[in-house]
This record gives sequence, C-alpha cells and structure tokens, in this order.
Amino acid sequence: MTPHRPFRPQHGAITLLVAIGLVILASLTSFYSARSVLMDQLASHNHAHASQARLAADAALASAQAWIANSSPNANALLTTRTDCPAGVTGPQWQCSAMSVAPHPGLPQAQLSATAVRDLVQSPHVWTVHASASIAGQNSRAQARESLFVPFVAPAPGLAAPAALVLNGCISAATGASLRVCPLSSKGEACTGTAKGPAVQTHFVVDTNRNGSISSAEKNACLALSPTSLPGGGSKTGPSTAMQRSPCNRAAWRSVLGDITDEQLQAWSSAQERNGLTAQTTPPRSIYWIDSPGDWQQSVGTADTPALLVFSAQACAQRCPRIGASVRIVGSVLLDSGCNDDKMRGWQAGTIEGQLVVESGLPEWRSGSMIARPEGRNAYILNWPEGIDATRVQRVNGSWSEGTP
Amino acid sequence: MALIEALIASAVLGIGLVGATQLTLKTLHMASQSRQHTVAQHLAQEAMDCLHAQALPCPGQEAIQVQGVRYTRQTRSTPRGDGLINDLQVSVEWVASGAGANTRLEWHSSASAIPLWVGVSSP
Repeated sequence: MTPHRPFRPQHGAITLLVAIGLVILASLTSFYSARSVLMDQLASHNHAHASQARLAADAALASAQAWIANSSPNANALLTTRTDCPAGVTGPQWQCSAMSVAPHPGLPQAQLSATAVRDLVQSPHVWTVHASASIAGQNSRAQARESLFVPFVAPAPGLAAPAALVLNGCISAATGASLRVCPLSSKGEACTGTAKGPAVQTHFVVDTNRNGSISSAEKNACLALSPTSLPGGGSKTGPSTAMQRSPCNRAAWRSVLGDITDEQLQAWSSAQERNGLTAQTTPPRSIYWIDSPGDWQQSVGTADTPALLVFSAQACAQRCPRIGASVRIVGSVLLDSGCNDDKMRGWQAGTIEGQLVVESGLPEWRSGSMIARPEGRNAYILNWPEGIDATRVQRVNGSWSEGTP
Repeated sequence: MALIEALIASAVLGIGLVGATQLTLKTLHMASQSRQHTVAQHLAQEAMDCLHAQALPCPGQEAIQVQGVRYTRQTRSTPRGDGLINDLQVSVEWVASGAGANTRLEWHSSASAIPLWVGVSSP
C-alpha cells in the first residue's frame, strides 16, 4: 500500500505564498520609493513657485520705487489713495497709500501690488514700500519691503543754542506789558541758572545813524526788553552790519527752518490732518499750518512730541493772530508777518516752551512767556543721515526684507 | 504537479518583478529629472542674486557641468522706465536625461536702479 503523503500540495502553496510575498515586498519598496521621489518633485516645484513669487514681489517693489522716484519732488501727490495698513502697523501716525505698480512684461500671470507706509510724526521722509505678488494658478504668494528716503521736508539746520525769540526786526514792550523771555539754561530749568544761549536774536536792526554798521547802542535800542522781562538772563544778539530786509528776506525763517519751504510744511500739516491726527490722539499732531486769521486758543505739544505752529502769510494778511493768554504751546511758533512790523503790533501770547520766530519786529508787545527748551525744534527736525543728499530719492541700506513683517 | 506549481509561482514572481522594475525605472527617471530641475533652479537663483546685487559683473552666458549634465545659463538685465528699473531675466537650459529633448527654465524679476544710501546712520 502506497503511504499517503498529505504534505505534497502544501509544498506548492508555500512556494506560491513565498512568490506572492516577494512580489508584494518588491511592489511596496517600489511604491514607497516612487512616492518619496514624487514628494521630492512636488517640493522642488513648490520651491520653484515660491522663488518665482518672490521674484515677482521684488519686481513689484522695484516698480513702486521707480514710480515714487519719478514723481519726486511731488511725491506727496502719490499718497492720496488710502488703503489698509499692513499687519502690525496701527495708529493714527501711520499713513498707508496704495501705489501704482506697472505689470512686468515677463510676468503676465503675476498679480502685483504695493503699499507705501510712513510715520507722519517721526519720519515722514522715510517711506517703506510693502510689495506683494501672487501668481495665478500656482497658489504662491510673496511679500517684500524696502524703505526709501524721500525729499519730503528739507533738513533743518542744527543750532547749538537756539534763542528763545528770533526776530527779523526790533522789539518794544507795550505799557504795562507782562513779558518773559528765558534762554536755555545750563541746568535745564526755566528762567533760572546760567544762560546757555541767547534770549533774543534779531536779523535786522535799524541803522539809525546810517553808517553801515550796527553799534551796541543801536542793538540795545532795537531789542528794548527790560531786565524784568529777561529773568533768566541771556544775551540779545543781532547783526553787526546794516542789512536790508525789503523785499522781505525771510531771514528769521531761514535761520531756523533752513531750506524747508511753505509748501513742504503745508503738505505735512495737511497729511497729518487728513490722517486724523489731533492734539488728543496718541501720538498727538505735531505740525499745524494755519491760514485762518482767527486767534489761537488751543494748547498743543508735549515734551515728547513738540508741535510746530506756522501762522502763514495768509493768516497774517491783516494782522497776525494772537495766542490766548492761558494757552501753552510746547514746541515752535512761527509767524510769517512778511517783515511788516505793524502786523505784530500789540501782539499777545500765552506760554511758548520752545521757540518763537517772528518774520518782523514785535512793536508794543503786550504779553507772553517764551521759554527756550532744547526739544523746542524737534517737531520739524527729521533724522536725516549725516551727509545725505536730501533732494534725491534714495533706498535705505539694509532695509530690504521679505515675508510678513 | 510540482512542475505546474513551480511554473505558476515563477509566473507570479516574474510578472510582479517586471512591474516593480518598471516602477523603479520610472522612479529613477523622475528622481533624475527632479534633481536636474533642482540644480537648474539653484543655478537660476544664483544668477538672479548676482543680477540683483548689481555689484559684480554677472556672466551673460555660461555652460556649467553638474553631475554629468550640461546646463547653459543666460542672464540679461534690461533698463526700463527712465532707467530707474532694470528688468532681469535668467534662463537655464539643459538636455534632460532619457528624453533627449531640451528643457528650459526661465525666471523674470526687476531690480531698482534707485541709488542706495550707504551711510552709517539710519532713520
């Protein structure tokens, strides 16, 4: 009898199972390696798309910058289209405007946009352009930004010890006047200690004897302030040679503001007003260009954010506006009286902590306290780098960055 | 019987291995293409960085051999808009392995020609 061998069919099944197992193993290995390569390929394409989006954002940035440079020196006109500020930029001092971006000839599928951002209080001359780009069909988006120096407001001259009161004419006190003019003091206290600078400075003294030079007597007669009006001491300075001021040479304006023009200050003031800055906001408004002939009754400026008040030639058309007796101004006050002393006759003011600049004399001055402060000119002194040509648009070195802020 | 079983197992193994080999070959081809594309991207990025820097003279055309593949790189900078902007173009061309056809990658961007203030102070 032939013995029964039940294991023979099992040999075949085992062989088949081993073969199938090997095939599955080989298939899985191939599949996972293919998937890994596919992932690498996708990552590589993603990287390529991201790079292209970044390059498109750079193109948008360059286009917006060229637009600004082309529009200079009237670049302010570009900032009329208000837009939402980029993330992280909040507060009334920030002005954000949409920029025009020309399409790039080599990137027809890219959507480019740019926003110019500037701080209207601290640095209106530094614009940061935020550019972004997205490429249709690639789901990629990139952002780039860079800052520019824009000739918005000219640099103001540096003055070692600015006078409390700067005039372009002579001064006289009215009968019963209550005046106080205090220079910068060495200890920083108002109207006490040793004077660190002149109390009064004039750019025009009447040459009474017509000899071409200005004597001390002529200067003292011109700057006729009593010692009680000068409790902090300080000198009274003026030119040593006779000068003409007609037509009006704006010597007082130029001595403190340098090349800053009416238009520049007017544009700055309007931009702050349009952006919603007021004396009550944080930070407060710092530049006031006033065309109204009405008297000024509002206290403005703080030690941290001093203000500049400019009463324009229009405001001074008939007579320059007075300042309320209880008004306190921290900063600078300029009155464009156009070398016409009569426009300032009998002038009155409250307290000015900083500097008062009058483009004429101050005859029959009735009241006011002028206390010189080191920070008095800070409202319009912008932080221009030393040696820069402030008449050209220039990129700020090291300010380029990419991605979200 | 044993012969039939062995034949069936061999057939299953053979078919499976042929499929796996095909997949592996395809994977190798894809990996090679992906690598070449990545190399081309790096070469394009390098040239774009050179054009953006505007400091060094960037070669207009050059041939570069990387891992047995010959890449031809071309760079071009064209002024636009009163010379305040330079349009940049970088192209990298290579012969893809296996396909035998030329593959091309082309990138565009722009760089500002506005002068850079390099003083020590900043706002």
